[in-house]
Amino acid sequence: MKSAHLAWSCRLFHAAVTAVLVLTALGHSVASAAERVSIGSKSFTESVVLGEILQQLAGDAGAQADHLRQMGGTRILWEALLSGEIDAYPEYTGTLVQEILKDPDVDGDDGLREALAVRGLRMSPDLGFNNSYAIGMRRQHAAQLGLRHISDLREQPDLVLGFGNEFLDRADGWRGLQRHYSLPQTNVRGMDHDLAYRGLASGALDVTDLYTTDAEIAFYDLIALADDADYFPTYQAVIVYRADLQGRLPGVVTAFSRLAGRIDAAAMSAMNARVKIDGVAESRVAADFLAAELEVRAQQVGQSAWAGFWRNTREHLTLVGISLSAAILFAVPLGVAASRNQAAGRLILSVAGILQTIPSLALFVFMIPLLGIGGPPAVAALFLYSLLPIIQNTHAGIEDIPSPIVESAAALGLPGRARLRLVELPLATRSILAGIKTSAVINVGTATLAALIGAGGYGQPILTGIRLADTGLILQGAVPAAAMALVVQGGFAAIERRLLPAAAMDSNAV
Amino acid sequence: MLQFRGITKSYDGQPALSPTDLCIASGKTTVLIGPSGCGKSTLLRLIVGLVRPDSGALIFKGEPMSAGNILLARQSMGYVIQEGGLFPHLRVRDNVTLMARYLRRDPGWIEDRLEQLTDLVHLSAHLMGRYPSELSGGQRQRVSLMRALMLDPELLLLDEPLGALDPMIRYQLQQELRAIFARLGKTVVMVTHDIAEAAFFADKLVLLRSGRIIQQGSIAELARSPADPFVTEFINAQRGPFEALGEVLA
Repeated sequence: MKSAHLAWSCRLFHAAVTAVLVLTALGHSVASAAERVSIGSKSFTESVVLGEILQQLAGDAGAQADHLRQMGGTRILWEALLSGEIDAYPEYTGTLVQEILKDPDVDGDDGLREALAVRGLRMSPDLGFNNSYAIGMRRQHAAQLGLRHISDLREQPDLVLGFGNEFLDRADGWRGLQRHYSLPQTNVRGMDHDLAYRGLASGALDVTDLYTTDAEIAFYDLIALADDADYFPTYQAVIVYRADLQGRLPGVVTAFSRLAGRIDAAAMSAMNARVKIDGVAESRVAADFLAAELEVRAQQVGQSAWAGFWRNTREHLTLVGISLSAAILFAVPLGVAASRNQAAGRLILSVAGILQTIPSLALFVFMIPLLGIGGPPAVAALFLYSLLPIIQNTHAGIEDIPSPIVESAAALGLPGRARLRLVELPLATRSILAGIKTSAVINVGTATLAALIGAGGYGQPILTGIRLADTGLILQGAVPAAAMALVVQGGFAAIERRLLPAAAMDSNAV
Repeated sequence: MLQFRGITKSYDGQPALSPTDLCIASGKTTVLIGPSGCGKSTLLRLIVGLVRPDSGALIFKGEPMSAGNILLARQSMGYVIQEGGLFPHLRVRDNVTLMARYLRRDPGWIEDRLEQLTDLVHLSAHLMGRYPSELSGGQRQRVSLMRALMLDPELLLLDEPLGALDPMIRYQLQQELRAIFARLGKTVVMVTHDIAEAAFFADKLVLLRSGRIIQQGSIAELARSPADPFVTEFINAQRGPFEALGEVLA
């Protein structure tokens, strides 16, 4: 008579954890052992187009090439390159000197090459264009106010300034500019670079930072104010790559060097416009460029909408599956510990509560120095976010068991661990599952932010949609994420129905 | 069988039990009685170890009870509380056999024992597959008694076992319980606040007030030679309504 209920708690754990692990397994794809090269790109269109060009070139040179699109800002790409998570990405000389190395002694391209070599990195020759920062306004507005130079802004303290978040914070960005020109404006906001253009067009902003090859300059009829006090350095576009790439894939490095001097500012600006204004896919634009300029007929690496969807789904499930399984495995014992000891309980619940109050984006970014970019830091952040609801509900579920039942179990002579396994956990099951459901929904939603640190998932189309002002693309991420949240919740509800016959849970009647 | 030696207990500084000595005789039914808060339930909970004494010793089968031997000692005790305390997630059968299965008793033995107990408490076998919420209050108390008796304990502890039942079922169960006690010959300690029920079951009554034993003995001794005016008062207070009823009917 080996009765089912002796294994009650095992059933709870198995059912819940298995479900999640199966999802995880589905989400995993086995990496091939072929010689791979990973290209990264920053989260703006030009960087993504250049990243596509690099990926297609590397593929043409015989490598298995990945492109981690719009992984984030400069800091994230740089760290990823140093740690070897990516092998190459497009960068600008001014950014390398001013923002990354922050070394005034670095002089000229040769000095820069030396400084990079010390860090195990190399730099390609100039691609052929200078994408400098500039300060831009609507042409008509500037004419109205009679503004032509950046120094003219001194006389206009009431203008509303909105800058891309990166420009706002960078050493070579707004802070330096304000000091250099003694600018008086105080109404300064940070926002996404692409959204800043829309703010300018709608009149919500008066001044923003431009990248001189941006397609929007012509599209919105903007002008760049002259840098009359020579603040901005030149930002020659180059490719930075890891020195070990030369040894592993010399063909790829050779292919990269063919880009030297082949893209001028007009060509780059035109490519940006095709993507942003005409809505052509970056991979298409990159392929057309390679065919016309280098006579490279790269295989179209651009994936079908379905392939992209499955890839995002896989990545999203992987993030959610691993982080949620780990959260269940940790949070249930922590909840039990919290119910056993009041002091420990207060400590555990308040630490988990504090974790929950950290803004999710900040938590993702905090993980970068510890775990790099991509999946691991995203999983760690999602794991921390998923703890509190499960801990709280486990704790409450056990505390809420009527004391006559707990005492009856003790009076039978069952030791504490057996009481937990045979009586308390089974009776707390409904509450624990409710906590897991809450965590799962939070987890699926928050995981859309993981794309900001290069972990992919449904956040990827959302980010791209924001960059390209494409609501359809945003929905391609938002709708499946919402659907996944509902499916996960429904799955746990089904587990609950299986585990808990209605009569067994009617503790009020006893 | 069981001895209290100078046991005291207080909750949050409020004394619940003054230094108390008490002997529970083997094979007899001892009933602890007194008004609410007199300490009768505390005495019972001390025996089963749900409450630890502040001082004094509890001797069970010649051994002082401690945290080290309480789990084993509980296997020689059966404990029944007012609301049954059945595990709502387990079927009746599993409620009754939980501890035996935890101890890995022989399945054949468990099955036989379950059958004997089902007969003993007059439950029909088809109820064994039900959940506690699907039973009546009286049936639940019978199941609770089965669970308490499963390991054939020497000592049976009952805390207001019939307190939540309606009068007809209570009367019927009183009759059956006394027959069961007589048949099993176990040492029984029962808590009640009902003097008639106490008189019905008790070989010995122990009357408490404010954490102190006022008098112990048979109901006849308590009625004839009360140790304190409170004894008479307590017995008469509960007789009151019944006599009043008699006057109305007359």
